Amino acid sequence: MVQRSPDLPDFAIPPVVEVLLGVQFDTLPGFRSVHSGSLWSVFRKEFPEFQEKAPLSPAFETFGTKPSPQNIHLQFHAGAPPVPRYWFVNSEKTELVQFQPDRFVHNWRKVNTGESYPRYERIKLRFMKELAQLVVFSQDKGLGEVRPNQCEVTYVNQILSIDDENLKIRPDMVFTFVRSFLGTKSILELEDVGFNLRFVMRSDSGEPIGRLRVSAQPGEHQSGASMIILTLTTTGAPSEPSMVAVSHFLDHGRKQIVKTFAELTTDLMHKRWGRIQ
Amino acid sequence: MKSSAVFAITDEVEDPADRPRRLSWELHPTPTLDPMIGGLSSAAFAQPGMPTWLNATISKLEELLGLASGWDGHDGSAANPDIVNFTIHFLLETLDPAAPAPNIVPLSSGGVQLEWHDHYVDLEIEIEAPNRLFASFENYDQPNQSFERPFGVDYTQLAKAMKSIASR
Repeated sequence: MVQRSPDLPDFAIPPVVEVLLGVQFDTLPGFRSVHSGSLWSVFRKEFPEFQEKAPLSPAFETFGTKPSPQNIHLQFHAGAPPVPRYWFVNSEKTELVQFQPDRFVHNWRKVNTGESYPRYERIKLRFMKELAQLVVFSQDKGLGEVRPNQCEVTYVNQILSIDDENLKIRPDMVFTFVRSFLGTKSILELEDVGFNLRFVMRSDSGEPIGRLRVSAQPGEHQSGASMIILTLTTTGAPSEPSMVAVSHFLDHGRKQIVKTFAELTTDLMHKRWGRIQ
Repeated sequence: MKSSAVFAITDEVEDPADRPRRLSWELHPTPTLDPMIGGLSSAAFAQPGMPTWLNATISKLEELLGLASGWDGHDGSAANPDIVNFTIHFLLETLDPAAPAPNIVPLSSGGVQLEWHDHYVDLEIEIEAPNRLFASFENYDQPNQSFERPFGVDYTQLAKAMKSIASR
């Protein structure tokens, strides 16, 4: 069994409801829609449900550039029609594998409130095993080499209000860097809260290697409780186009997410989530 | 990489229909502010202009996507669609909208080379893969700004050189 790193904050009942581990790679040029059935058969035992989704555009973390102009959206269509993104879903609908010719993703998501978070270590083991299966599949079918160029780790958390509280207007109860607006007469009544933060991830030598994005949005849980949806994502290029480098980036990205999550959230919340270390 | 792996399924016989000949770009002018208040449409706000270099660049990249295998008399491949996509986004993120369009030449590997030349500067950028670039910049006015080096994900120095092209 893979052990959790002892220097990472840990919670007995973390508010995480979804975890995504993914890799983007150079497009497998030989892949056509006709291969989707063969690929599904590789994963079908554990993921018996199949869905098609619109493909995602390629994305790269770059530094020293400006954002693309907001009013220009470019979509490239090659000669053949674009291959969809495929979802292979398990029967409990708690885990899915996503594939398109330049991406491979594993999601875990909380469906029923009773189930517990299976932990990063287990999800990552599954992802790496499935990625290895994709590499073999691609080799066997002569589709091209899986050359990773970007990695992603995402954690989605639902921070629920309890009893009569409304965390959407009390961000100071959740976040360490927000002060209370209660009783502040010089500004209007706060209705809800949302924000985006971007952090640069650097290598030991100080080179930028990726970004950590944090976003908070107000929401309402199916139980009716108000909540804040806190999403943390790390993206960036692996140090080389290899599975080992992907593994290292995922571990590093997850570590940054967990540490940042603990830094940004208050002791009050940590107590509710049963902070262990 | 592309020439050896791309069409492995069809073996040595490359179906011309598989080769990406056309590049369709959809340009959607979108509001800089969502028009949530009645009467305030996006037209009410100033839009940043469409880059003057965009049309010429798209046309050239389209041409390179349609190159036949062996276009260089050897094993030259058509431009790799991944690289074309990256190139256009790289330019949108680094090149001033009013800058001159680059000369674009194909690389036999499926990559592309962007070039700007005038009396004062020479800039050449080889894009061998997304986030794998090699650039050489000669600034005859300010030689201390010249460089020749590979770039991975940090384009700070390169973006500065590209800015100097727009200011000419």
